[in-house]
Amino acid sequence: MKKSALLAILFTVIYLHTYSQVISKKVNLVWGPKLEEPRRSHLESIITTDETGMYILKSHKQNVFIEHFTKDMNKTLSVKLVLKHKDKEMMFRFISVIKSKIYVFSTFLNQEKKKNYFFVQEIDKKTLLPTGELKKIGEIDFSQFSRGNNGHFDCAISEDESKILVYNDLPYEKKEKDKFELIVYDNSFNLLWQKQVVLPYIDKLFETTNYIIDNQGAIHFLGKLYNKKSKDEVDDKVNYRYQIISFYKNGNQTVEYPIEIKDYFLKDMNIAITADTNIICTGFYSKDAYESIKGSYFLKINSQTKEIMHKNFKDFDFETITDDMSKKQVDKTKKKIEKGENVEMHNYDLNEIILRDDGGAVLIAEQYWVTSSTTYSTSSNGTVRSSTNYYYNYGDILVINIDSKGEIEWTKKISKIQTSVNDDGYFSSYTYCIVKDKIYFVYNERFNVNIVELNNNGEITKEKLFNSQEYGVNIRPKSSMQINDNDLVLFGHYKKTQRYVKLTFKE
Amino acid sequence: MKKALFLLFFLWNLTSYAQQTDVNDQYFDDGGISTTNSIIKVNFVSTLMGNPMIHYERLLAKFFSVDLGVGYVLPYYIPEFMELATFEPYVEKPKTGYSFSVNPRYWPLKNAPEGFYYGLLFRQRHYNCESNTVILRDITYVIGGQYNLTRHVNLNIDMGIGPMFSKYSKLDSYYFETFSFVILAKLGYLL
Repeated sequence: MKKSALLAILFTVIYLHTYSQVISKKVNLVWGPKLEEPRRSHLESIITTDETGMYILKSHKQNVFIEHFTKDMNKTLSVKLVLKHKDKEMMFRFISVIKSKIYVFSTFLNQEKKKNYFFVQEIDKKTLLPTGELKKIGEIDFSQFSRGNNGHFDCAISEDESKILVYNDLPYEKKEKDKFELIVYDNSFNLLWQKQVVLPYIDKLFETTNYIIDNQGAIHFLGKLYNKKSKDEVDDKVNYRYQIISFYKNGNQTVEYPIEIKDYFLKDMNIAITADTNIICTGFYSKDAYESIKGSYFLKINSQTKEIMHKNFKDFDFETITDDMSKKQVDKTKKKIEKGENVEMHNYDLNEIILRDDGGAVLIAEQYWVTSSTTYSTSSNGTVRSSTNYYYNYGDILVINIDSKGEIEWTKKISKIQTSVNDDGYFSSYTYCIVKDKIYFVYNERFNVNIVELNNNGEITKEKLFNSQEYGVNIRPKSSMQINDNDLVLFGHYKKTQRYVKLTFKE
Repeated sequence: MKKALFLLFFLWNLTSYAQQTDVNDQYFDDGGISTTNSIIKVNFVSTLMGNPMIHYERLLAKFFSVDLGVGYVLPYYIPEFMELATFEPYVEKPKTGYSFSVNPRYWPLKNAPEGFYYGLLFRQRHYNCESNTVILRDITYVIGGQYNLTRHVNLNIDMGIGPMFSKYSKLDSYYFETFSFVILAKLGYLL
């Protein structure tokens, strides 16, 4: 048989293997109708689902709407959210779901009393209107400060939805220690305890990056602790380390967990609390730079003794680092390693830490960077004009699997490159869905919507799901969401047309 | 007995409802600041320029308001910025006169009457001078800010640029004179 024919057969087999239609056989797509919406309206989030369908939050200019869709993605109701107490308007902040009920959170700035109030009210799922009691759940006194310095409110909900934390970030005072108030409610918004906290750091030297409330009501703050200046890098040297501050026993006991591991700079960190109330810290580390990463780590800290019960650090292997490199780049990287130089990966942001039921975890990160270019032109009358374009780049997805013993099992890279101009990466990035022991990633690649299946052995299968142009919309992964164990809803948008598609993964 | 119990239960519910309403009222009682929809102002910059004006601003929506002004002319005239640049005052020795302005404003953050806005200012000034009558009319694109200094007092500053047209008593039409650069500052009282 001729060599060319053999090559053609081999290529076809490889191509078919790579782009087999295996995943699409497992996925059922239900497209909703095309909806004509105001041009600047966009989906803020998918709030929740129930037996009647899906509830979404949408915004248009300064207005906010709640909408209901059936399971077939047909819109049944759209209501503009108007938050008023008699003739006084409140400012919408966010919506949350607690024990299947939808709650809207809002604030009112009373300029006469110099107080900022935080309210919660339930939304009736049938009418999509605020219903029931309007309850005040937070209050900040800014009488000693300027009107613009009136603090802000936020919320966190425990994993089992039994506890709600209202976090009052109090007005900022220069050269004073940072202060905030913690208020904990049960899921009916009955007060459990509240406490004003003063941190032992001044001038924002402790920057909170995340906080969680665990099922027992303890609160854990994760933050960056800076030296002298609140900057990541000073004089070309890393200027921070991570610290956890936890509040136990209704806020009466404060415990600090400084996280420092010799020879490793912990560049990224996220935390989770296990069922036995120990603290898991995981993320990426570097050897010497804060903008690149050398590997991933997993720590388990005993919350009582502060002892690090388990630690595991693993460098990214050569295959992972060079996965999408050209041969020239691969050879260059190989030489660097042979010389003993430090080789790291750049521009990765840790997006998710998913705790598994067996005590393990999955980390998901994505490469992201922004570049700009400025062009100058001279008009006929000699005026020089400049225009700057911003390029938003979303690169590879990194997935790290950590087993129940805290050992890093494997690291896999899903290669992609998405670049857009002056749009903040509106249609870029990815969404994901966990179905049993598999993770599915969905992202755009030009007009194709691709799906990648990653199983628990780290095996990757990539496939084209559909072509967006055939359906009249571009999919926006950032607005899409997994709504239950088997369904992922994608949101599509093109000018005034909006459309939803539900992906149901068959088991 | 049953009727008495029912009446007692009914009255207790009425009381409970009234108490619930009162509990939230205290948080929203701000002396009417957040629902103010009228402001009366004095333009002190134009006063210094020889044209004291009083303004009334009415909020029609959280994103839109209209500022109306009326004033009179003092027997002196201080040239505005563009006139200084051209060294040619348009008005000489005014005796009497009047002025009015209309300024619709758009508040992009829907926080009227406090914050940032932009809009169009239409202004007309009549000067009765010794030898003639001069009418100055300008239409400027203005951007501005308005902030409450106290519960009832606010400060409004805006600036803009736009064409200025003039008409002299001997002429029938308005002629383009120059570009007017406007800076206005007003002290207001929230009604």
